[in-house]
Amino acid sequence: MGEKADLRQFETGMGILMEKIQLPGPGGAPLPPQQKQMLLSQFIIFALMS
Amino acid sequence: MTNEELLADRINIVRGAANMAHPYRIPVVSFFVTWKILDAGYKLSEALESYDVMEKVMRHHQETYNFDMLNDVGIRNPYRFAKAMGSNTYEVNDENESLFVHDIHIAEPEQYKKLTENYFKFLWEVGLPNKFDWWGEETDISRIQGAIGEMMGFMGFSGKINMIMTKEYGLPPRVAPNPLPQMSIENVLGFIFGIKGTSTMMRRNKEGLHEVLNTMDAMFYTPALMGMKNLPEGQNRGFCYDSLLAMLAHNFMSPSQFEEFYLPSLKPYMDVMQEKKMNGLIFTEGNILRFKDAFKDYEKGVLTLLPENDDVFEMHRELPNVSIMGGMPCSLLGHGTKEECIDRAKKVCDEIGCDGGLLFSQDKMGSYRNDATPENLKAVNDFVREYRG
Repeated sequence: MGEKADLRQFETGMGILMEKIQLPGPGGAPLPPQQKQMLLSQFIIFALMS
Repeated sequence: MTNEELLADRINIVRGAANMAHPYRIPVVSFFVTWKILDAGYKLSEALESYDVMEKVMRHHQETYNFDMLNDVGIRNPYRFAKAMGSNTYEVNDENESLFVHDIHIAEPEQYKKLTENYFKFLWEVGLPNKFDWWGEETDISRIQGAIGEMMGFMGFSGKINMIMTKEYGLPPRVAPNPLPQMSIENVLGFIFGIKGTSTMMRRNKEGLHEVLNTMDAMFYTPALMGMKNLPEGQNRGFCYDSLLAMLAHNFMSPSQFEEFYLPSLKPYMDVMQEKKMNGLIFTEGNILRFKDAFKDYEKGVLTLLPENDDVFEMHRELPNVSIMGGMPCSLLGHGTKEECIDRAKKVCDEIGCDGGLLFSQDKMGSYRNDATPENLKAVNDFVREYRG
């Protein structure tokens, strides 16, 4: 089992995902925070629609 | 022809038909989804779980039937991602060769105020725990990391297969990468409140539904429409269409509900298409002809309708200003003789194609094995490709 986190609240939950989720950008460098947040928002909508 | 010449030729005939401008031949368009997996000799689960297999399916589909445009390149169902999330949306049965997509809703109508207060907070705090029972106080982060990896994999396959189809087969991509207006009512019905919840709101809480639509329009639909308005005038000739819209929610509406909840969003979209002299493809799921008046005043060359259950001959009579993508019943492709299929194709080409606005295709998303026999599909495609009326 992996690391567990309390994701019930939007504000704190998004902060946790921003910190814990690895999203490498082009060339393997970490994505800039704004792009990372956009991708996580996209993930939430994609998850709810799929 | 080289692939580059083939690509240019196909874009010209698709755009020519969309413009109702009598291209030198009628384009042949695929509306097959899961049928092509079975046709290529694979189980549904094999292709849905492996992008390598799905790539082989797509290659087989194009190499065998030689279409001019594809409505699906194997990315209709993000099955692997849904599975990684533990979603129950998809139900695959290899024995029956069927894929069921369940109706989704992530909230009840009485929770609408939370949506209007803060949309993303609503999705997070109401939608996610409602849909995924593992999302909450002790959420496994590695599961989310894995699912995001699947999402990236899906997006990667989407880019790769589009590139293969374009570069290796001379097949133009369906829609230009313009801002994508998605009507809020479709998302409300499609995944937020579902069919039942949305129908209930239309009857019992009109004000609440308007609040929801206004909130979502302001965030997504209106900015996307503005993005379209800000594009240069004219058609992007690297693609078949400039925009795509899918209509489903109208099937659950009375005429007065359509006037109140649907038309106020649909009309500005079609107005923008006309103003910018663009080609818009509208997939009208179910039946649309009872709302035909919404489309009748647009100039020729603006709208292409992709109907499902409507009679295409009636559609052509009632809406002579729109081009039609369709005409071939899957029931005939699957159960008719080759001669019957070609007779039908000829009738469609003669009666609808004579006005220059026909993109020959099937009457539904080809899903099941009996939606076509390979022999009939090949014969019909060969006939239409050679037909010069």
